[in-house]
Amino acid sequence: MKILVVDDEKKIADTIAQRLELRGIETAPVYDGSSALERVRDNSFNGIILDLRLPDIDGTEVLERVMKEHPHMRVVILSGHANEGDFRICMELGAVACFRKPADIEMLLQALSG
Amino acid sequence: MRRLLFRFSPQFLDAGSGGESRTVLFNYRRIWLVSVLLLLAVSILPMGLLVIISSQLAREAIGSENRLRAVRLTSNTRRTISFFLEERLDALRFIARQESFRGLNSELQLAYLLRDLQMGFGGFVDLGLINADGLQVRYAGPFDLTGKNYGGQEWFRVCVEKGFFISDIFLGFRQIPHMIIALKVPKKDGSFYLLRATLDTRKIIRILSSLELSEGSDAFLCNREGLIQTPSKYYGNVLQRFELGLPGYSPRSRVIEARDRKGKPILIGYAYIKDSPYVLILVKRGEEIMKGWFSLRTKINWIFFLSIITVCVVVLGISTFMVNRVYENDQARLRAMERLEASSRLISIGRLAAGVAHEINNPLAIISGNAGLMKDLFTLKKEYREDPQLIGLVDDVLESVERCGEITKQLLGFARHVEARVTPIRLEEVVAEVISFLKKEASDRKIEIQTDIPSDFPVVFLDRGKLQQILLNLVNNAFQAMDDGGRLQIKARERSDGRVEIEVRDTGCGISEEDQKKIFEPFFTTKGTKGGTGLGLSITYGLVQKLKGDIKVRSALGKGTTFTVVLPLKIERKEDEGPACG
Repeated sequence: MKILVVDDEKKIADTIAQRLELRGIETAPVYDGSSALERVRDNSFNGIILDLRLPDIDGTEVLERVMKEHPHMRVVILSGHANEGDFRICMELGAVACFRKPADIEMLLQALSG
Repeated sequence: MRRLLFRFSPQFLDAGSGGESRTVLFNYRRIWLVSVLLLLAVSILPMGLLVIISSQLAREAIGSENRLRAVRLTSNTRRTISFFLEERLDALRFIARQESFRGLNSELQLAYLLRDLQMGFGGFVDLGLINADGLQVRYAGPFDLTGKNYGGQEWFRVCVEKGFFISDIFLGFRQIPHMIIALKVPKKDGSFYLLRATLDTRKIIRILSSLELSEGSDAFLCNREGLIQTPSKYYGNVLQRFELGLPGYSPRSRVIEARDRKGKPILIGYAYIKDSPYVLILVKRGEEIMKGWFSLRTKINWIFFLSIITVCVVVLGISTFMVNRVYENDQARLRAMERLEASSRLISIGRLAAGVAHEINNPLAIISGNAGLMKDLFTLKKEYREDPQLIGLVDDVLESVERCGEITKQLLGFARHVEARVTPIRLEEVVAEVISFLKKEASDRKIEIQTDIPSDFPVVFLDRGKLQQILLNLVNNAFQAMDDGGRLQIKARERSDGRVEIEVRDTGCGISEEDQKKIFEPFFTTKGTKGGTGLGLSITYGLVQKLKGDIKVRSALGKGTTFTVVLPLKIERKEDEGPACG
């Protein structure tokens, strides 16, 4: 399994990536929307942990584009700012789960593996 | 008495004294006092002046009217008496012209003339003919006075000098009051004779007594020496001296003010009767004079008094009513302001809280992530995995982070506004749902739950989620306040004002009076550090407000607390201008 971790906060992305690695999962942390979209293109990722607040492209837009290109991608939203409305939109766009920061790594993992 | 006063005393009187919890905008007592005094001054002062001036005028008018009437009466009476005397003299003149001395010089003729005079004029007692030497040569009358010589007497001298004479009233040797008149008649040979007649005074007395005088008034004649000539009711007997003294000579009728021997004010009208020794005196008593004035004054005083009472009552009533209205309006405004302040405080706190929550979430995520990573690393390495203290420390960090996360979540919930979805709701269903969340805890803690919702309780149109949250928060609170074995009651009823009332009552520890004021404020908590963010009730408050309702608390320490939520039967769909945040 290979997971893309997208978060504008470098430390958060790195930590999550590292913790997943410890659990034997391959990861790649990126810190903005455009690099995320770029990395998704090589088709090697099974899932994405996506923050909604990103410096360049909004998280929901990233989600929308990813889902268009890879309808079977398991995207988990992890946001510190979103409210119920945002989460509802994300679920409608195809996210498999939405979590509020800080979230338990095990639950993230569970959502990603389905 | 105090209680009665208290009942009628308006609310504003107590404003500012005692309970300092309510702000007072003005000194209502002073406003009231100023208003009362001002109104009284502007209404009573002119009225008083008017009364004083008008009574002064009335008094003067009545006084001068009285004087005028006295003068007129005096003058008329003087004329009557003067005319009476003149008439008697004219009668003698007529005889003198009609008859020669020779014709008169006969007892028989004189007796005839006397009879004619008595029949024609009345008042004549006798008639005498006196020659120039003063000898009465002929006499007709009831006495035998022929041959009496008047030559040396004063009246004879005056009559010869002036041509006529009118005497004082005197008793004479017959002890009957009478007066004499005499006329000097010239003869052709240059000498003269006198015609002398005695007059009965009854006729003059009748003239005076026929005057229409009020009680206490008096009218009589004096001579110029001040001796009373005709009977007086109050001021002495005939031929006694007039005790108040004769007023000074005046050619016309006059009225003077004086005091009688008892010191009471009187009006004396007097007139010196021309060509006679008489002075007409008319006395009116002061109280008689001012009788009209007194009754008028009493009337005016009564009207004035009643007016003042009426004005006082009206002024007091109006002032009290107005100031009380102002007070009530001010209080209502204050309450509205307080409410507005509270809700705007809540809104700004909500915004702040949401902002803070957002900003805190990321660092929290880092802490939690890093701590999680540390734990992961520890579990991977054997020497650390065996150390329970290390794992415990990390778990503590994670637990604290989780609690922080809970707080930020609640903060966000506090500020969040989700569109209200109004659906028809059966209250007993919602209550049952809420209770089902806590069924297990209730049975563990042996807490008895009673619900009392009438079967005809109406279906309400509200946001189900919000209503559920309100009830859940209140029930949760109640559970936290109670020891094991308590009792929770949920009661609902429809109110007469078209709203519904839901009561959540517990038998818990209660809330002190002071805390009751603050329990709806954000971050206020009595649970200390044992958990509780201090947001539960303030969120509940916000939710109730969103549903256009009211929430109140009643509590007694140690006995329990009752929260009463009053909600409308339905709210409009359009509802969402609240604190916005993302």
